[in-house]
Amino acid sequence: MSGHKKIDYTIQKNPEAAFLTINLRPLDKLFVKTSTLTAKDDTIEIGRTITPGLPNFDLNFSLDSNLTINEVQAPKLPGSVYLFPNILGTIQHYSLSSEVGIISQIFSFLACSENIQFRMMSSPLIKQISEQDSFFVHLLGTGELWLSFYGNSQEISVNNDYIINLSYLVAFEDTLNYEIKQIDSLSAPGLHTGSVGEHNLFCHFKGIGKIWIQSRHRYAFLNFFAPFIH
Amino acid sequence: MKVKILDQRESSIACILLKNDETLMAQAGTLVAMRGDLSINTTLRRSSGKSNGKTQGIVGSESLFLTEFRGLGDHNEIWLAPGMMGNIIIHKATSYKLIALASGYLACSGKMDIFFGIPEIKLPHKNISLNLLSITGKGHVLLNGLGSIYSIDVDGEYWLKTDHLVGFENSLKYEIIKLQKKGIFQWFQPLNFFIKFKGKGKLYCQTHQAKDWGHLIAKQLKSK
Repeated sequence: MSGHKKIDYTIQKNPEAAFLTINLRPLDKLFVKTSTLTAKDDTIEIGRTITPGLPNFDLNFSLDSNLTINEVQAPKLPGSVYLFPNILGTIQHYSLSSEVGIISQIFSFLACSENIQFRMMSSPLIKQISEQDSFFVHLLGTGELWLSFYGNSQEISVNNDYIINLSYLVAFEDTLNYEIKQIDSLSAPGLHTGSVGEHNLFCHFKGIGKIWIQSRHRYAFLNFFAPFIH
Repeated sequence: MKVKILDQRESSIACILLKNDETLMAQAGTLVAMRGDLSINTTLRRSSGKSNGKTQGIVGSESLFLTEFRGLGDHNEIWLAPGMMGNIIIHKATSYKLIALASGYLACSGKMDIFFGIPEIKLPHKNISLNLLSITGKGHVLLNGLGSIYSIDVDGEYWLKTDHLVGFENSLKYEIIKLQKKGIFQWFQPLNFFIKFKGKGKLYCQTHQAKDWGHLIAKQLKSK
């Protein structure tokens, strides 16, 4: 595989309703989330479909079209792809290096360059809390990565320890140790903050590294309307 | 206690620094991230039930889950975010008590007291309910709104639609007024309630309101 090539991209309309344009040169390849691929130039070809790490992963989640990842490439002529995330918010770009990988929610994944590997998180705890489309993938390699956030994004540099609400967590560096736990004192008997997706789970990080969180979590929008329906 | 608002735009996060033995009272379920040595305790606060007799509009279900954070070390950080898109403002309470909508309350300094309802308010119609909190004492109060929050320094008279209210200082005199056109069509028109403020003080309003939007979406969802 060739060395790390810079990819030309623009992010517009950050932080309210961001969208990403990636300009591909001839022979460039990319992985993009299919549901966000809204427009492409005629010169771009859509290649094979990838489902991350499928063979060694229990199918207790339903992998719908929302999560499939496709390869796109510019075989002869340059061209652009236009990616619009499924949620309103921010897009951030990261340059991945071979030393540090990123663990990210698959829902927030937008695109990455071709030499990045996907690995399903196989720790049993992460599997237990993963439901439908909110499981985590480990991204490794050297290249570019784009993630989308609901609302704004915040970067937290962890030095020692930090506790993050799992609903707000988007990505973190794999240099961090983490433990997922419930904090009982944050909940009271009869407390029902929301109907969907609020499970009072927190991720306790230890070590040195970076965490990226989003400023709102996507089920809050649904829970906002729930009282009006009943 | 120091408060910083990150991303003062459409989806802000409040970042609160707590020192040893300082406390913070936050609406339960709003914690995003935290660091340091903190003791946490969540309780249910109910109204004393006083406000049910004369003020018929205020519903009986006045309760609020509050989480108390107490700093045990000197470097503690708490990040809070409301559920919906909207920004957060900091109100510095001094001599007047702050009256805030329960849904607009995010957190306040633990030294302050929170009570349900305001006994003096008169609601002109059965269908209107206002879940109000009185926050007394000195300190910071964090309020959140749907959409953007703006503050108005009222001096004289000011009218505000009740749905857009977030909070106001008690130095203002207030009265709820029903606006409805007279005539045969009045039954078909939605009721419009306004609060008339008089005097001098701070008033916080939100640009969007949950009620109409919520009912609109719910109607569409139900029909499916």
